[in-house]
Amino acid sequence: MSSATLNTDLNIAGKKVSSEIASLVFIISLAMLFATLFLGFSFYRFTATVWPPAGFERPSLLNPLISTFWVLSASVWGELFYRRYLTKVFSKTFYSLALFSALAFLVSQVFFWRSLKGVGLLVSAGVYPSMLHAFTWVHAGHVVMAVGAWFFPRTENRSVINFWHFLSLIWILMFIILFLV
Amino acid sequence: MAFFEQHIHPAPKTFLSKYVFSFDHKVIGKQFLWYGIFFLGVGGMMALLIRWTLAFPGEAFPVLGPLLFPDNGGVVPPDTYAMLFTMHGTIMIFYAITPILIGAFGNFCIPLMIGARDMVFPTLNMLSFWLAVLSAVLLLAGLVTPLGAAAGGWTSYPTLSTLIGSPGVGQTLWALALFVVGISSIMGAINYITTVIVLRAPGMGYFDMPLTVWGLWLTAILNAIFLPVLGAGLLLLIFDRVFGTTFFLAGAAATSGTGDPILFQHVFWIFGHPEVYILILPAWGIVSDLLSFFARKPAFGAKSTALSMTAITILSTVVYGHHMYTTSMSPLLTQTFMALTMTISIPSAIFFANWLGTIWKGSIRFSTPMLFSLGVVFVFGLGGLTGLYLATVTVDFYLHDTYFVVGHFHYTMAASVLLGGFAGTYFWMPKMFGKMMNEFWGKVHFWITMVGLNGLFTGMMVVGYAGMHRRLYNPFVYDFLHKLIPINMFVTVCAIIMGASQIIFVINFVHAVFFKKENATQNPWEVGTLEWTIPSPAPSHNFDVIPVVKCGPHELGNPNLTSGRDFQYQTEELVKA
Repeated sequence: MSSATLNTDLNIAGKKVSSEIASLVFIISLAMLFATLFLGFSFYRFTATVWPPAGFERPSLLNPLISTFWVLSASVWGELFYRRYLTKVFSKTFYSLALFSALAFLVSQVFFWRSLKGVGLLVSAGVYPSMLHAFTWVHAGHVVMAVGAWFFPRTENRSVINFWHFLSLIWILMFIILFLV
Repeated sequence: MAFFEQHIHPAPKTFLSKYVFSFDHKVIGKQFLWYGIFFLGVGGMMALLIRWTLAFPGEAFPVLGPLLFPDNGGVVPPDTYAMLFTMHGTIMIFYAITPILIGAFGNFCIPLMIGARDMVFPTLNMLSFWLAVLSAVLLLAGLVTPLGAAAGGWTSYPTLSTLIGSPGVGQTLWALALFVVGISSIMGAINYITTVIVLRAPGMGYFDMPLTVWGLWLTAILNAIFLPVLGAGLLLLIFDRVFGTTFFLAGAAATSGTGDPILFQHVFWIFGHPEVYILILPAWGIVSDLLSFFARKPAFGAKSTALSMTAITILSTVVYGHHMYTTSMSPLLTQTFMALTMTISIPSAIFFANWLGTIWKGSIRFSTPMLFSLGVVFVFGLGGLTGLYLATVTVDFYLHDTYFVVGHFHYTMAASVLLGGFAGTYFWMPKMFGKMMNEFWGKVHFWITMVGLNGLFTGMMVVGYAGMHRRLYNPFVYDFLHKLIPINMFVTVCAIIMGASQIIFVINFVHAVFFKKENATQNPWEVGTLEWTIPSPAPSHNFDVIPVVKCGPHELGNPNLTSGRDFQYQTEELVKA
């Protein structure tokens, strides 16, 4: 192997490691952001004797369950796409299914917000509906970023799909915290 | 060990690519330096307006007063006073100190000191700077909104910062500006952390890195972890203000369905206490290196200094509660936070002793960077020791929200960091701009700054200990504070002296950058770190050939030196004894 080839390989490996470290730090940063939101939830939830606070009903689980399906679906199709993509095969089917699932998740979130309004859980009605709205807004904002990143998949690392998986994990935690606890 | 070697990119040729949208870490570092110096001036002017109001209540601020407050006869109005101390704190912390210490020195020094050609993500680096500019525009836009800029203090506790306390759009812009500057800092942090891990020159282990790089790297780690915490708090505050959520509106969650303002304090200080170390770690790193360089001795206990800084970084994450002793926290918690806070004294004492050990029996060269470094040793000693008072629950109950707190944090966050920043600026000036700043005027700048600074911040602690509260427009409406008017005048005179002395710095700096003809030599300070192995100013690609590191950064006065000098470059091998 010539030294030029060796250098090229070293550069590719170096860039891969750099991207992986950077994406790890990025995800740790985002994890702290969501952890703070969950801290906020704990602060209110565990100082309250009644939950949801008096006058509020829990929203129906239907929309959140549909959202959970789509976000997991996006993760699964995305993972399948990436496994192939890392071997330089661009699977249009998996790519499109993942993108469709992510967009369907965002649409399901819009339906969720509309359903909250329908049962009187208005954003300004109290801290409980405030949390339902704000936490899902912040999460959806990040999903929009993740969808944007999906248009620029990288062959040398898994940063984008790791971001998707991270957002799926956050959604599941959010689902448990906001709708079940 | 470096993972890969960056290519040499062709030098930019157009004005825009060279000076405005540059990818070069050195240019971005200098952009952050100018940005920080500009805001240092803005924040400093605000400080003088605040001090004038406290020393001469009801009297017009000379010259500028009639222009700024014509409706009030040139006197600072009460609502403007609240806006001034809010914007002063915000600007100094996020728009002056952060860009200078982290943005300028981080960008300029890290690649040069670890033997890299640039940051690992140059585009991200450029975006980081321009986001900081956008954030500054958002913040300053608050000044021209109908109800003025934010006025809830730099901590912006609800309910002061909710629509009830601050109905104007200025407070929303403040929160948005800080959120954006947070994103900018996180971008920088990702770059710094990754660059240090993957682009260190061959042979450079972590303990072969200069302590400046250690300080900047630890700061970047804290930034990446804790800025998002503030970001989350700011998002919720923005939602409260813009969309009508009720996170920080007072009331019991279970009964009225509204939120709790105390949550913001928790979130703010979970970020806020590490922020103190975010600001000061780079200064500690710079000073640790400079003391060694100018004492012509190896840094005493360099490894333990690095490890102490690491220990402080870790401990800084678990002590935030000492800012909240007066919020009806349980005694168990206050005592826990007190004990944890006191624990920080141990690593602090270790590296402080190391500083003293470094200069002990050294052949000290009292150049301007060394004077400023010694200044940091002095003021940080004072600031650190007064922190022990405030960490103690019983004492804090008396001193909380007094000027003693203001004096303490100005000694640590303002004085130490400012002097460290000046030390770094004088020291790296030849490598940044290819010119030396005038030594005589640098020393004059140092001594006048030290006189003004100590009178100012010691005076603040004295009036605070006497019971004067912070953030009062006119404390002297209270009879028991009347006797503090003379000392407040003294404090203000010291502030004016300190402010005026910065004119010397600005003239010296601008003269060196734009008018000085004589070029600096490659290594005017005679030190061995990697940036001094290349010409001054540093060429666009830094190193023609990536250096191979063979010894530590502080090889000064070592009997095994082979070079015939009293220092050795990191690229030279020591002879075995």
